[in-house]
Amino acid sequence: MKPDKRVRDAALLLPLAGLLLLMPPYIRVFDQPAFFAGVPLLYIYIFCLWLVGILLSALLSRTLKRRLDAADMDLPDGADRRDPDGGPDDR
Amino acid sequence: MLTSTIVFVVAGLYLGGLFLLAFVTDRKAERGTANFINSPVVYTLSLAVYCTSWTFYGAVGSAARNGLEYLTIYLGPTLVLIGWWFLLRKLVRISKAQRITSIADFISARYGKSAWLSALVTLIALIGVTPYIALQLKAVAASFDALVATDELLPGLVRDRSLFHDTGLWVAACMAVFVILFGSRNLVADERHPGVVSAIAFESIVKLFSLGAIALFAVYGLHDGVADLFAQAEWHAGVKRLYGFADGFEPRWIALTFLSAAAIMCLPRQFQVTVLENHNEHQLATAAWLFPLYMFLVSIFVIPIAISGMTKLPETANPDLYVLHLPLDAGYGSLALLAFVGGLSAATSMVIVASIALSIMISNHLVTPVLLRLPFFTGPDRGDFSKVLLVVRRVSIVAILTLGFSYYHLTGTASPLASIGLISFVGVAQFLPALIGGIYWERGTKAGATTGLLGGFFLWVYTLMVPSLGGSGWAFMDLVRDGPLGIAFLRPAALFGTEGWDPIVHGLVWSMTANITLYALVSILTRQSPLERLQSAVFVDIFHRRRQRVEEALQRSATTDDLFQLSQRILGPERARRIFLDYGLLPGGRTGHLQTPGPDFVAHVERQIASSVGAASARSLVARIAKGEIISLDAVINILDETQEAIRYSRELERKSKELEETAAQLRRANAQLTRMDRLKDDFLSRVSHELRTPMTSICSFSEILAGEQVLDSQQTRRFVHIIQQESRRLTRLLDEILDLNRLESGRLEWDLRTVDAAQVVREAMETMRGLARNNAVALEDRMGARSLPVTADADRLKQVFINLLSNAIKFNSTDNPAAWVEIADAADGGLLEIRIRDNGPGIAPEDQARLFDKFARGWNTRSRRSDGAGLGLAISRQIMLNLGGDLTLASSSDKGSCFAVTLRRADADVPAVAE
Repeated sequence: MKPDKRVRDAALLLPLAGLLLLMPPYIRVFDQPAFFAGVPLLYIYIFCLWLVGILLSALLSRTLKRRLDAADMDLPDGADRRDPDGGPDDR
Repeated sequence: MLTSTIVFVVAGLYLGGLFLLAFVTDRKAERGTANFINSPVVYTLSLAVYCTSWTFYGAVGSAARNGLEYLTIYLGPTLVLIGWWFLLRKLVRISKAQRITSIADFISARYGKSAWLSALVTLIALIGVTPYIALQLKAVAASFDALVATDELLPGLVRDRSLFHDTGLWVAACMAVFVILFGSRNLVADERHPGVVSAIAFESIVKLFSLGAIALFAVYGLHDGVADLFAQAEWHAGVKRLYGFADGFEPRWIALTFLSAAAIMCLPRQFQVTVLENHNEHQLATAAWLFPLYMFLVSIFVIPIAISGMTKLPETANPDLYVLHLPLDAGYGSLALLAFVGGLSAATSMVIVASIALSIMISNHLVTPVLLRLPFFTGPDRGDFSKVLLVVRRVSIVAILTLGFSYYHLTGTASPLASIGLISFVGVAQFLPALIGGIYWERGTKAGATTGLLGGFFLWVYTLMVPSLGGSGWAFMDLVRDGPLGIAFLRPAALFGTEGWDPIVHGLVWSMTANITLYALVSILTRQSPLERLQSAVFVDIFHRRRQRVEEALQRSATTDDLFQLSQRILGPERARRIFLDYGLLPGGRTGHLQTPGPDFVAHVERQIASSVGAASARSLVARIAKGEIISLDAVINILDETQEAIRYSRELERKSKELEETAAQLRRANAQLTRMDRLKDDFLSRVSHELRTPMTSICSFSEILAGEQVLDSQQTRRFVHIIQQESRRLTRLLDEILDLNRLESGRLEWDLRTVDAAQVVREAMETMRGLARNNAVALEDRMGARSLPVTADADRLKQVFINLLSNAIKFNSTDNPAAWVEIADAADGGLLEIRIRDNGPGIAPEDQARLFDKFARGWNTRSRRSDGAGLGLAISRQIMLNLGGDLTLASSSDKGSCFAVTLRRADADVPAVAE
């Protein structure tokens, strides 16, 4: 169960990035009296960001789900698959 | 136009449908055919119980009042779901491993299975969630009233009513029946309720569909599409407010995002559906994007309804009921009815799950611990507790709904929907530090969690509940106005002089500050009990399986009969029997002496019991019958340290074994060499014996003839004596050679070292060999030119080497025009010179080349015309050259001829040759 660290890091960064972009001051940037196709700019920003987050989450979850499968397969003997470096695996 | 009868019938049919759905699902689940319940989509829809009537009606109201702020309630959970791999997955994994029954059980199990802690969490949850249930009942009643009283669109629709005319009562009663039927039907192995899950999943579809229909109606029925909708802001200030942020929105925006993120984990009902009703972690992977999508849609639907409500309805209309009033006002009764059903589904799903979760908590953490101390359950007759537990569950359900209904009925219309919900959120958010700290921070202690919870809870009551009650004129009016004992500095709504803060932000900041500070500080200052230590390791390191074994540190043992009786009382006979059969233990032998179950089985039984009554009660029950319960602190800490150590050890071991492998390989190589040398020695001995034997045999036989009686003529006698002489010489030569070699090898030979001309030595050797060459018809040639090659050497020994090489080149040359010659090659190193003795003979077979310089090698023996040498020549020559500081090698060999190279250090070079 050697995890692809990049996927794990991405899974951690995605919610953090989402949090950052939804918080002031970033969210304030789009608080303008402007419209795009008749829809206020702020709405476009928030809902697009939301949708992108959902999409990325779906993509990531697909990869992570495969790792769940891999992890389930070596469950029975109770052998410890921890990294030899003792790094925090899947915390 | 909508009579109360119609509404009642529709609501009744809808609820009846729910009952039917739950019933059918439960029946299917019993037969094992309800696979759809495990689908990730159903799981995701069941998570949508998060969207209550507070969302259905309240989000629109919130949007109309406070603009975009309502989005935070859905953005927080979105972020938590997106990060499922780190938080929710861990919660789910732990809960499954520990057979957790509720969030109170989770926190209590983490902090040493403390009964007090689970009771505290239960109480906070009960106080926090009851108003929330009341809110749902209120929403249903208000929507009902709005629907049937179309002529009066007045805010505060809850009018004078007797108890039995209150819609809320009927909804509450209906829900009580539903939850009793499907939420506490029996005590199954895990706290999963397929019937309930299918019902709330269905309700989630209904409420989304219903809200979507109203939204579409608002966009295309009341406006000309999206652009027209948003253009309303041009003339309506309220709508304009909806497009941007008000000044100073930040604290509330941040606080509400945090609160909603906390709520999606800490609300008992969310914990129930997300963690306890979870079937496998794959469901989480799908919910990670599908549930955010659900909330995304809900959030989008809210906007047109809010805008339309503000622009199309009279100012006096209650924003919380825009969803109903919009279609009603436009004369679409059936659409309004759909909206009502949507709101009903949102409300009932919340009431159902919340009362299940709370009833489990109340029965496991408040009632059971007390009951199990009663003589009836501790006494020798020991009543069956599993049935009692069921009754307790059901009574709890009725009690919760009664409490919720009373709260709603008595407080009436104190505050708008959103603020009750938010106060609730802050209440359950108090679980967050203990929950998150519990799964990531091993050092968090029970004392820390308890004080943190108490502090947070106290400040929640003080800063939110008290002002809320005071504001509605119920109680604490003086306290709210003047502060405790008249100290204005400590006024509940402006603690420590924080005047002008938003109440929710104010309450959240102070309660969470107290909570987190106390939790962290007290955890650092106190020590964990052994059980806490053990549980904290199990919780924090749930993904590291080695550390999961620490449970075996509890070296408990109990008789099978005792364990079985206990399981039977708590779990019922059938389940108990199954557990024991699974482990191959057949219980019940009055006579039979069954083996004493080990600690792992005791732990297993305890977990099974915990899945019915919670970790704390299970522990105290098992403790009563298990021996060796008191574990020493050292034992647990040792085990924990051991597991830490084990990881270090295994790495150390890995390194060591690598070293060992290397050493073993070296030893193997050395051994192979020794074996080879041993074989060579044997070989040498047998060859020496053989070589000695041949001349000895002939000497013996001829001397016997001479000594015999037979008279020989003198000529014969002379011949025989000559042979004996010859053979004796050969023998002596051989022995000399052997002795020579031995002395050479051991370095005992005396050397007459002086500067000589190597070329001259070669020429002398060639002269010596001319006769042999002529006899063999080999052309011997000197191709060295006239150079002189001064070297420091023993001239006789050097000559011996060249003679040996030349004689080999002559003797073993079997070609038609045999030739041998000597040439000088300049070595790469200027200080060395190389003399080459070459021939055009048949060459030396590759397999023989390696052993060429070994004693008795005679590699080319098989192909030679004669073999009068003992096979020591090359070995001796090589030894001589090595001793002279040079070398003798086979430079090349093929079927075109061989070339031996003699290397020597020049005497005129910087470093003189030194014989050993």
